[in-house]
Amino acid sequence: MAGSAAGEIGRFSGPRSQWAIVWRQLRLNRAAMIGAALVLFEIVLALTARWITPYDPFDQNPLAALQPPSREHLFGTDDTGRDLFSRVIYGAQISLRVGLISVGIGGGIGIVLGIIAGYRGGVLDNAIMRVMDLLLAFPGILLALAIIAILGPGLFNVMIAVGISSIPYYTRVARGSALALRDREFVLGARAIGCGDAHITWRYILPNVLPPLIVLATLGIASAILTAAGLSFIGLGAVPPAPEWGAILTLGRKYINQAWWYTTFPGLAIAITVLGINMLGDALRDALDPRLRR
Amino acid sequence: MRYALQRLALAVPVMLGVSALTFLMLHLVPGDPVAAMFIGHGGASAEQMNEVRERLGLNDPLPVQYVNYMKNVLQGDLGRSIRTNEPVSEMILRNFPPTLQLTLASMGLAIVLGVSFGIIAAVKRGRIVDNVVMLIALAGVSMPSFWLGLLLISIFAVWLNWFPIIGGGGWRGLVLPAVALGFAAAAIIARMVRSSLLEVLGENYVVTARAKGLAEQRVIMRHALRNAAIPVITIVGLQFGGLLAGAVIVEQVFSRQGIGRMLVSALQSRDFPVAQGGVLFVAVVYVLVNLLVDLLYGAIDPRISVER
Repeated sequence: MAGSAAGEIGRFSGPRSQWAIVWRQLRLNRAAMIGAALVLFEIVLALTARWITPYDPFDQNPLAALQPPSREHLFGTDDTGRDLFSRVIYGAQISLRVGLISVGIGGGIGIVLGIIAGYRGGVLDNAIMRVMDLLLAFPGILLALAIIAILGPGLFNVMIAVGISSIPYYTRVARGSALALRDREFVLGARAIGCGDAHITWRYILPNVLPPLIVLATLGIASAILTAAGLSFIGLGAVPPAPEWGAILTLGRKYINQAWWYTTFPGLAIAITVLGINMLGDALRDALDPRLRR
Repeated sequence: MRYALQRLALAVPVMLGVSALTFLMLHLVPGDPVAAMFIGHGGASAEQMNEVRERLGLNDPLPVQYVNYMKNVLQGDLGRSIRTNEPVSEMILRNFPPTLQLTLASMGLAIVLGVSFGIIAAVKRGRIVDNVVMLIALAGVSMPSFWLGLLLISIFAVWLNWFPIIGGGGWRGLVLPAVALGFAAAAIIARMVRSSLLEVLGENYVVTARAKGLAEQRVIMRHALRNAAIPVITIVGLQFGGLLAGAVIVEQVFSRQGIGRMLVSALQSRDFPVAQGGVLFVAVVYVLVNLLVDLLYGAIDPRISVER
């Protein structure tokens, strides 16, 4: 009985109708659709890499080293004769995985901490937020570098480092929203009919703090891909011959005055991926902000 | 003045926290940190490891270690490199000027480009110029600095031969690295200038200024831009830290001397004292710059210092 009454109260906050409005806004936004198409294209490429790539991304062929783009090798070949097209497509798998796992780590931990801080308040809130302030005192990529200093180089450690360094952003946003929701009628109502904190957080707080966090997470995937590729580029992430985009760029750098294609295509892949996700993220933010609705 | 002191007092615990975190870096290493330092360096004898342990004071209890660490840090002693035995503070002093030069050059470039294109986009809102500028800005945010750096090298150093491939010495060596590093910041600033200008352009005092018959240029420069500057300064302050940290990657692209290259090679060779010292130094510089921006902010917008 109590559960269904609480359900009724919760429904007034109406997440479903909001998503219908958001979807309509997105469909009207050309940038959103281009961004979504780019992202979808990338996901399809990553998932079907095994079938659509003409060569094995690790297969070396010294006789075909450093060949410019041609019909056999769409993006040309690298210094060991590996097909760059195949490597770039496989790179999409790695990059998407890096983006999703980093955001999963950062968003997962950050949102939980933020909701606890905002919903419980008091000493716990203060403690959590002071730690977040500390993490934010390390600019940009520096916190990730400090974490790599602890864990050592490697792609998996890069994902952990990028994830951890994004925690404060999620915590701040989740805390702000949870704080605003804590005393709203539907939360007070749920508490009045005897729902526990865990139930209230899961059923009423979480769904309502999610919209801004979805925007943050979307843009977070783009920045995680960018940071991880940068860390691989400077030799702290994926190790060659892994077909990671940043790692391919490091190898290609040595041949910059004889093989323009070596650095052009993996870089373009990073830029297009990040651009697509950013366009989608920007449009999502506009669609979720009632002030900006058309 | 009271605001400045309050703000200064707030920065002290942050710095203490930052130093505590960098101190803990070594202790958070899974397993034996000293053994980790020798991975990939052919290992070390028990004697060598003990010597390093003794030198880093790792045999003392943790609180004693922290107190000693802080004492040393406050005296400017950040320890010595495990690999070269050079004092870390000397390494930082040698490597910081080129990094600062690169950061300031890219910051200047980002402000000039960002503000001018932001104004153009806002004034020509909805026209082709606006769309093109905003599209370039979106591309700028999405383009990795290291790839942009490589592209700039291909075009301007290898093909046109206008600038050196390696970004050291003199202003010519600074141009390409500064563009590679500052482009994304310019894009962010342009977007910010455009949106805050658009917000201000609808305000009553702008309408009044126009009604008085002032030239459009004067309306924008004297009335609108000054009020749109406040959020822009905040962004610029935040960007500084990003650029300082971003220099780590751009320095690699152009094989430029600096804190970034020092840090990366320390991380690759697991030279802990250098990594710790470098991270602490950059974080402290960032906290100080933020402090400066906050104080500047209070000076520009009198409401802030009065409110607090």
